[in-house]
Amino acid sequence: MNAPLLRVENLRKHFALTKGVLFTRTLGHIKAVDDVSFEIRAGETLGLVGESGCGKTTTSRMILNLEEPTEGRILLEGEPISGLQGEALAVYRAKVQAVFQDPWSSLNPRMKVGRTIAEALIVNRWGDRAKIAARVRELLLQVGLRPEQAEQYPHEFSGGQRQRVALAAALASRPRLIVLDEPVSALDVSIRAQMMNLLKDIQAEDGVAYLLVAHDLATVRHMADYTVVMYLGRIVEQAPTASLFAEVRHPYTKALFSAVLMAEPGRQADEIELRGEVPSPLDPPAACRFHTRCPYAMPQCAEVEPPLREVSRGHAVACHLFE
Amino acid sequence: MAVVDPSSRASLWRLLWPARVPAGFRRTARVPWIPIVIISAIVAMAVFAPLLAPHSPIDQTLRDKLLPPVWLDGGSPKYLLGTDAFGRDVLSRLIYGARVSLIVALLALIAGGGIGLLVGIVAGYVGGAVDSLLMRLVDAAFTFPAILFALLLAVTMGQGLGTLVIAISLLLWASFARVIRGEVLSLRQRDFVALAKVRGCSAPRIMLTHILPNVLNTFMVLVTLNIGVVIIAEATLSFLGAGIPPPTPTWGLMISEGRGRLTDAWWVALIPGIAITLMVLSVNLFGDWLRDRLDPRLRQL
Repeated sequence: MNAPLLRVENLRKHFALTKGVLFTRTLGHIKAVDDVSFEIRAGETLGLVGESGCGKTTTSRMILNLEEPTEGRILLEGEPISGLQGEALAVYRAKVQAVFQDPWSSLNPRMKVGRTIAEALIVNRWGDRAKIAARVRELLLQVGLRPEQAEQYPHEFSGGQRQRVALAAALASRPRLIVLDEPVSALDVSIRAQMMNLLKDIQAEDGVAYLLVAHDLATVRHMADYTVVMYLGRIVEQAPTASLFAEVRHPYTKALFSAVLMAEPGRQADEIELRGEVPSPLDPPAACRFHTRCPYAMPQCAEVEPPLREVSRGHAVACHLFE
Repeated sequence: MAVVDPSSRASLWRLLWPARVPAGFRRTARVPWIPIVIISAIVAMAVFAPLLAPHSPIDQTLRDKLLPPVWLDGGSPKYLLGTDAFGRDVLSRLIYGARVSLIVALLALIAGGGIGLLVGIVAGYVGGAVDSLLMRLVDAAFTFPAILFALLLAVTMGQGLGTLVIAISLLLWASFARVIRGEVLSLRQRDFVALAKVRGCSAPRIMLTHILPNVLNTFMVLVTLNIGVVIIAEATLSFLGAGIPPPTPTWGLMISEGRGRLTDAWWVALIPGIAITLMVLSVNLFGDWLRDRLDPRLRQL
């Protein structure tokens, strides 16, 4: 197996919760991401799933170098990304791009979309004006828009079209990895499939890798080669997508699956309905973080933290049920 | 968008006041014609002052002193709005005075508004210690008695246009900075700013190409809403003797010169007073309309 494109090692992000302006006191730390490790191989899609507040967006922001990790390392093609500056940072920026969830907030309303798409090329002094214009035309065609739409402003586009523009802008510098943070969840169901198919086509053409952050299992199943499930800042289960969907192991993942309406009612034998709220990440439950809501919780779940261990080929679970 | 037939006056009107606008929005959608006409007239007066003024604004004709306006007993068609204690034509002084008021307003808004815009963008975008420092400066500027400071400046630097513009700019910049900063704080949270960073834009580039164009609407609204403030500040300072030195005509100075004769020659002070009222009221109404059109979030200002 070849070396991974992106490697995340023991990543932690703790946000200090402070009080006071001048004489600041630290009240505690929110452990948004706590000891997360995974790999993305070139040209593959990794799905990162979990409910709101589980740390998936924080993880993606650290990979985009928008947040500093508290601990741990992120390596792109074997090179750590912390402390990158100047030219090295510019090279990294060109290799790792992003598309965010909200197409209404991700385009500058005062900028022509052609200029937005060209932005990465302009700041990297990629070529002269004519060369950049040609690349913008090519990108618009690639995402299924018309080249003359480069002269329009974002308010002239629908949500789906805006998301295509955002994708074209992300593709401009020919990145190796694109972080897709809920790329279709703000879109109408009718155009979600179009967008997902467009993303898959582009991956087949360009060989770009995706980090797909989602709370929607259908999207992940359609797109991802490998799936990581997070709960309260920790990975609870990770597996190749086919293997995960064939046999769900962790009770939390089971609960996520139960929350989805299936095509055939009654097919799911063991439904889990979660009760109560997600515990506060300021004071997460000791040992297994899921034991307060887990229907299969055993005494040891509150005492010993279950390590992430492989139960079948490539399929790892952090649960005492599988020891 | 409705198709407008250029030959029809009715459809031209429809363009300015669309029929399908819900009733509640009509008042804000309506173009303030009367203020626009008044502002245009005063601007034209200022620009074409040498062509419009029937007399010199400075030359004294003591023989004709304190003549009332033409419609009163003793008024002369030679001096339509009467003359002051030195026999100078009030109309001509009013016309030239518009010039000074508008030049001061323009320079003070460019200087004070520009500083406020810059401080607001930097404080809002950079944040942290820079933001705290700049905003404490803004707080300090608000606690400063502006008129007193202007008088102090006039004493130390001497009267003149420069002093006046500096004094009024110092009065203006803090309120601009505070509003713009608030706007930038919310813009900074928008995804396109994070994406600009991901694309490789530097902080100055983001402020210039992503933040600045998005606060220009707010800035323009603030400028129009503050024209009135500046004109009144200019008049106040000239009235107090800290503005443009006589005999150059300014509206504030004219009121100051006429105030001692309000009982027998009221027109000397009242006519520039009416001019100030009309101008300030017009720019405020125009500013309100512009705010509703461009940036309704500023409504509480």
